[in-house]
Amino acid sequence: MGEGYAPVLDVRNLKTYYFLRQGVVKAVDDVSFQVNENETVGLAGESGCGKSTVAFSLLRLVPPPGKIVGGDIILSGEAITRKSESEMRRDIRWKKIAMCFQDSMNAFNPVLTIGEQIAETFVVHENMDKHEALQKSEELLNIVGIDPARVRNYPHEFSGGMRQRAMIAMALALNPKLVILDEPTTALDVIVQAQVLDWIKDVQQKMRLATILISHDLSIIAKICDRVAIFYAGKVVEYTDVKSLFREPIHPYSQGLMRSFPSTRGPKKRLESVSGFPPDLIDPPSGCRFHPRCELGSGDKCRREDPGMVEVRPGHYVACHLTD
Amino acid sequence: MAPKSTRITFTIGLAIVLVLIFLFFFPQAVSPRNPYDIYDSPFCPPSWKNLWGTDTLGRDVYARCVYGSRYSLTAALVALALSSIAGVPLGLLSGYVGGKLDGFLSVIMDTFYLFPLIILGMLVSVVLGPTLVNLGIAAAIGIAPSFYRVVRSITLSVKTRTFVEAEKSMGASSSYIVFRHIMPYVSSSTSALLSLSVASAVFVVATLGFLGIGIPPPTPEWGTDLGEGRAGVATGIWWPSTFPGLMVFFAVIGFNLLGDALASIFNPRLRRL
Amino acid sequence: MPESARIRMRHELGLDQPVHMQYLSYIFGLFTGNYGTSWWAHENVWNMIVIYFPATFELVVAAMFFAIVVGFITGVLAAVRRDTVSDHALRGLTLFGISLPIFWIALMLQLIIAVELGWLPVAGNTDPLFTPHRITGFMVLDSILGLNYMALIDSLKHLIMPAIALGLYIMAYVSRLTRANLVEALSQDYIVTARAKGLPQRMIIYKHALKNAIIPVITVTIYQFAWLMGGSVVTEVIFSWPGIGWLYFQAILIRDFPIIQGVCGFVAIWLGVLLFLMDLLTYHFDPRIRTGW
Repeated sequence: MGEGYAPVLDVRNLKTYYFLRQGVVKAVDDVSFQVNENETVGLAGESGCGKSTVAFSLLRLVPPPGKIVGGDIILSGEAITRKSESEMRRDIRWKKIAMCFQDSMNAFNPVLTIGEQIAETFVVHENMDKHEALQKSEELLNIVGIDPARVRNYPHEFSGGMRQRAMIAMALALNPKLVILDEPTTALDVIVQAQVLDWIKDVQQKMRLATILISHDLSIIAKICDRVAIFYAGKVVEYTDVKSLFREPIHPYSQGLMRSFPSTRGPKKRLESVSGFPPDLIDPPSGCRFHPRCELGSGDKCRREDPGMVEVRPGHYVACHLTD
Repeated sequence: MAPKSTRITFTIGLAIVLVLIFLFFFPQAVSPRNPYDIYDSPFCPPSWKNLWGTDTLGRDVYARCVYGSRYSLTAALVALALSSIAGVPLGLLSGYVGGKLDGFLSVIMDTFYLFPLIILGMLVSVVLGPTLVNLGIAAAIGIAPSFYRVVRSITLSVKTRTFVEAEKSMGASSSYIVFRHIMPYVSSSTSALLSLSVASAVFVVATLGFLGIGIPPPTPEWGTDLGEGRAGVATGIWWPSTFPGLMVFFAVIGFNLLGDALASIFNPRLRRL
Repeated sequence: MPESARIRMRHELGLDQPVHMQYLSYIFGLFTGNYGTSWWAHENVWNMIVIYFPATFELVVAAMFFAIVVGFITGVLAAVRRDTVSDHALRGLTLFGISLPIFWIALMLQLIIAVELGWLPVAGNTDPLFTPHRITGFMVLDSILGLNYMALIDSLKHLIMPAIALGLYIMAYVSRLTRANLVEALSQDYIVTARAKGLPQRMIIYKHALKNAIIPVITVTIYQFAWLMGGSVVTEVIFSWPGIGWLYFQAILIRDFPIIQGVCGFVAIWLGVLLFLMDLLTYHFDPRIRTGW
């Protein structure tokens, strides 16, 4: 839980749109959340709902034709949105915010050794000479439980789980304040998944990192996140701590998500899913974006007006007209 | 829909190819003069009377260039036909049967692919004699491996797809699998190759003609004419060589453009070229 | 020709031996350098090849150098400036480059630069006045070795046009291929990682992208080297360059089969060398192949 200090990351009303020939995709549309020190915040939702775009926006790496069109991103008091590209490259990227990508196999360059790829962060940002940088890389690998001699190996010579850990080691190289993990375990099999997740939680707590975990898999979020923001169609629909969400999901979408997860305890139930399909972000439904799929029936207000985030319980925010 | 650049290359390439086809069938419409008669004294420079000048014997260069399309394109077509007749079945066989046969054929095809086409072509032309068909054969030897490779790789990729294995286990005969599943892919993938091969074949035929071992005179062939006109270059008589060369260039670029566009249409991954 | 002479000739040529023996002795001869004797020049074919080879090698190396350097640089430029004016211009130019027939461009160069403008010599690889003392047979190298400045300038002047004519097609091809591969490499995920790491753009292009992009370019370049051997025939004929291609052409004209066979065999051996070289280079540049991935 947050410890009452100013948050490490404060995202306020972020809007990131993609300007395509067919129209404007409102991938991130007025999103706000915070991450404190020694806290893992999960960004959950279906594919294509804007979670990764948020991550890219934080690093200001949104690929064209995408652009941050509004809002603020404040990292330990610094306004990221206002920085120039060279400032981002020099001061922020990897030094203050680091990111681990989905599918570590493709995130690493196949023709360079793992050691080389970790070392270059030191060479570029801390002006170390190559030899020293490689040594530090060896130490890093050691810390994450990989034989340091493997600095000389290529990405394809690592197993999936090890490669993931190597990627996280690389992310931690410069002691960033914020680490973003985008679907860190999707490419792994279930047993390795659990191991890696435990390990991630361990590292986060030891180093008191502020962490963002992006996933479509609520069970992963349940396992290691402290707070969670549920995304739908580019907006946050529910934002609270994990225990509260699982005990009492308030937004109809969150409730749908909970029901679609099989439980190994309790009476046998049919698996349900949320009916319908995620909306087209170029032309989203009017008013509340979830109303076409909402089980509670969409009232007139739901169709007309976009609900804002309301603190329905202490620390528990929901964007829905029907809970007011 | 294909990106704009592809549409442009397709249109331009197709336009050029259509012009060439028109010249092939109706040269009289474009050139009132014929390529064999003598119309003026030798080496007249280009003028309103002799559009592109006259060659070493006084024949009209423009007429020879227009009619020359027939020979170059015919030889190229022969090369194409032979290449596909040889390359496609062998590719199917190689891909489908695999094993030692595949290894053996691949090595042979690679050798012919690598061996400089011009050197090989010269040999073939000398051994078999300088006729249109033989020139086509010479070009085909170098082009067939490309057909072989494309068809082989398609066959391999389709063969290993699960539904094919399922059908095999249900007792479908080989020929059924080949015709129903593999051939459709073959025709779409080879369209680009066909066009590019015509470009190669025209080039090889013209080169052999230039070297003097192509179709013997007085037949108007672009390469041969260019070779004959070469003697005058040193004294500044540029037109008997330049215009035939332009025709070759025109033909090659047209078929290249068309082939590139077709490749990009049928295989979107290549679009970046 | 009288019967006795015919019999003698058959015996000399080994034609009275069974076919498979003939073939075997041919292959054997290839490897031991025994290609027989030219009918026309009455010289040992191998000796002839050795005499004419350096000129071809020099031409091919120069052409390849031009092609790779210029092609690579323009390809990288086009990729980095993708979709800008310079990219489109370069792509248009390279399209011309791969479509221009080699004999035509050689002739045009000769015509415009040598005949009309007189900037460079029309033909040959050396001017008798300035020929350097023959040490290796490579004009440029011999000039350097003999510290003969005038000969160096002269041989370079002779080399420029043929090298460009021969290398133009490959240059355009390399340029397009480099561009395509670099664009592809730059769109990969690991480039996103590199950007997230805050690496400078130059490092991203050269260290990360190019190292991946270059692999297929190398393979193809070696294949093109083989094409160059064929192209050199045409170039040598046009520029009267005294190399193997020119020799082959003359032999074809007069049907001198020993030379024809000899050159073909020689080319085949070179191809073997090239294939080996290609395997070697690919192994060096692509670590995935090393570990049998």
